[in-house]
Amino acid sequence: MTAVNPNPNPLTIREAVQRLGDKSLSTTGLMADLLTRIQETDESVIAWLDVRPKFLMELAEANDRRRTLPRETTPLFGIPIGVKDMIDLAGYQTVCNMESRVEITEAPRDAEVVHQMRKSGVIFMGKTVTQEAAAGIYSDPCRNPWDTERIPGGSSGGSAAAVANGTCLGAFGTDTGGSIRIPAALCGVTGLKPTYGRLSVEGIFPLSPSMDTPGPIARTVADTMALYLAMQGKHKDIPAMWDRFPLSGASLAGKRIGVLSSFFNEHVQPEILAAQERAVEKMRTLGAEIVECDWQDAELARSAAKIIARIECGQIHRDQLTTAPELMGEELRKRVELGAILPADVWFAMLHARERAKRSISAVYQQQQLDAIIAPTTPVTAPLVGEKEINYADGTSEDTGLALTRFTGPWNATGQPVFAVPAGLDEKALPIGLSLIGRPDQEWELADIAHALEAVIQD
Amino acid sequence: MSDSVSHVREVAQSLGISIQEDRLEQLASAYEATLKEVEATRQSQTPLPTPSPYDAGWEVKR
Repeated sequence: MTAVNPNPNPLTIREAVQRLGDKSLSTTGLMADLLTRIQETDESVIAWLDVRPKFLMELAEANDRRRTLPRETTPLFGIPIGVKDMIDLAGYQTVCNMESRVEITEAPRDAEVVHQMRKSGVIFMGKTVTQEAAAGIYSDPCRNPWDTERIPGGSSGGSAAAVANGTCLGAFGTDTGGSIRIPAALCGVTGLKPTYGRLSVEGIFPLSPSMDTPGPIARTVADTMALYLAMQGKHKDIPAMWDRFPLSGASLAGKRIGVLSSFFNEHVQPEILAAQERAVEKMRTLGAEIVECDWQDAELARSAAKIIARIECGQIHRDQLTTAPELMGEELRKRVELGAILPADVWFAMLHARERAKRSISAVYQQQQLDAIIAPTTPVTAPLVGEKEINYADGTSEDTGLALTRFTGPWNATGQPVFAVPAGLDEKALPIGLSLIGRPDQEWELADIAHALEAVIQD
Repeated sequence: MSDSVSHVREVAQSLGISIQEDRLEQLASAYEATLKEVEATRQSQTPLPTPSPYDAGWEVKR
């Protein structure tokens, strides 16, 4: 079966801001369209958990009335945004897809990043589906809107699926081992994992506190950066920001882009490697210098990220393991049991490995004078629901969760910012994702590169 | 594997975690695989490149 683009004519945040501003679009009209689309399609995609149509329409109407007043509105006034159900949104439960939390009280206040974004004028559409406790890549019961027999990836699967399906214009995700980037790749949208520690995690249910970060998912790099600014409370910078990302004529002159060998080329779907080669050629034509390089500690970084996440997750959920383990799903329970019993010397060995990985990747960037590295986001496109193993051409196989996090986890160990951008389709017409990995705290420089690539990669 | 199963059972009990018998083997297998992976990371660590990245850090390019 060939997949179908669920939303062939997507409205971007940038376009919506412009059209709401010139009144060729009303918030009421936009909201009505999105709610209709949710009603018509979300029964099969299941990206949304808690959407309150009457409340949202009232908000939209108030929004339109406000636009008739002479006072200037805020930069993302009336833009509908989804919130992953690991993140507190005032007045909504934060269930985290955990049975033990189904009766939890509604959050009394917003998570810090939500609170900051609220100042930009967005409308929060509701909560999106997450993998249980954000610990995994399936995001059940959500499905991939390109092909509902396939998974959307996770753990921010609902957020990526909602954006891809055209039921909101952007969404919050969280990322500990790839949870923003994997669903962005599998659903054909754009995601940013910011530098670790750059955005507040206050009001976000933890998975692995030494690697957790929230981040935005949207349709374009510029939209993603607008949300990133809003998450920091810097919404006043958004109007000037749009000019940083011209709609044509982007250049990569003077940029040095690294292409990693070995670890990032093994057991990868050939069409994904071909997409990366196409991207590299396009970047070269835009003036970038392409540098072949190697990072010998990639596997080490992957192990460190994976095992640290297991141990921290084991500690966070340990009480439930002793009191009500039957309320945990199998995927979470396996992680927590293992994380809880691993000895302290494993923890210290992995902390050491993580530091080592940070230092060795910084040396690669320094020695090669790199601005960014390009790599596949995932080794395969969206697996089928229930496909627990990925089989490779050489006869080997790999657990689906381990396969999908293989190229994302290392960057959680190093804490670097990563842009996941769509890079065409495979032969089943499923989205392919590529990652651009930058230097810590260089999100804007990375966004410039991602924007230039975005402009040419879909040709 | 039986040694691992006993060890995992013992550790879990000492932490007050009750693991059902039918889950122990799978957990012991994951436990052993993790210890092997940790050992492999210890073996695979190559000497740090020169100049030391302790000095290079994450200086902004150019």
